[in-house]
Amino acid sequence: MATNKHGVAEHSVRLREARRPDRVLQVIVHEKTATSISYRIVGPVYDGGLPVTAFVAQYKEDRPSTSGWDDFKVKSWPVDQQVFIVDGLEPLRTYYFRFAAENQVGIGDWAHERPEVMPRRSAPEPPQIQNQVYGGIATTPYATKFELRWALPPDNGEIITAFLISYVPVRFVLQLSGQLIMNLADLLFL
Amino acid sequence: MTGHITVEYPPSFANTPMAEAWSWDGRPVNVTCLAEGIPNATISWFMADNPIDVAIDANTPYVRVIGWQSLSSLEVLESSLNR
Repeated sequence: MATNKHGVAEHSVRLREARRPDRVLQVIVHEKTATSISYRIVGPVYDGGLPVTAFVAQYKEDRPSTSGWDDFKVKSWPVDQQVFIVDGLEPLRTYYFRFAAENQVGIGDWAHERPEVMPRRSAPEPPQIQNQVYGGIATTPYATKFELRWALPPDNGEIITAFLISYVPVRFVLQLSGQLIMNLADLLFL
Repeated sequence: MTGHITVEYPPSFANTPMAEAWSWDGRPVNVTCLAEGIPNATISWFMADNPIDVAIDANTPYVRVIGWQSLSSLEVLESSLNR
């Protein structure tokens, strides 16, 4: 309360005790490769009073939590990401995961403990073409060349050694088709 | 000749945006209030409608008031949050 000879003003501040966040509501596998898993995470109902800053995963190989969580790895992600990725995993192994939300107070209770069986090494996921494609056709501003851009896909356990590009030039009614195998070194010189 | 006029007005907490103060694990909390007024406003604190005596803090050992004119801070120590 503030007072001078002209009057009085009041202002109130609530003192509140913050807690660690509640358990995360839902953890959904978004994509799994031989060596990585990505998740979508639905945060807790109550954030503890202070905003959730991160989601945290603990994971370890093979044994469920009855054998303890002393020997685990930790991955922490800023909460504003859409998808949360754990990589560096081994194909065909089983990992136990559990998840929690974190705020300024600390990490909340762990939840959603579950095994994840990693797939075997296999052919890589398809590359993500980054050119604009309309009706299956991409155009080039150049007279004699086409610049194809793509993002490296998950490799499913082995280093990607080559990209296979097939293309069909579209020129009026005349259509030619061709297929071309290039290795990475060649692509760098395109 | 120059004159000087002081416009006096009642105090205002318009520039005290703090509405909540959070604590955890026994951390002390600082609540700061800025009261603007001419003449300078005298600030007094209340906790759950009970006045906090600045001079004698024997009744409220878990709070400390710093400053009483225009700008004042209330430091709330650990134990009070559990009362």
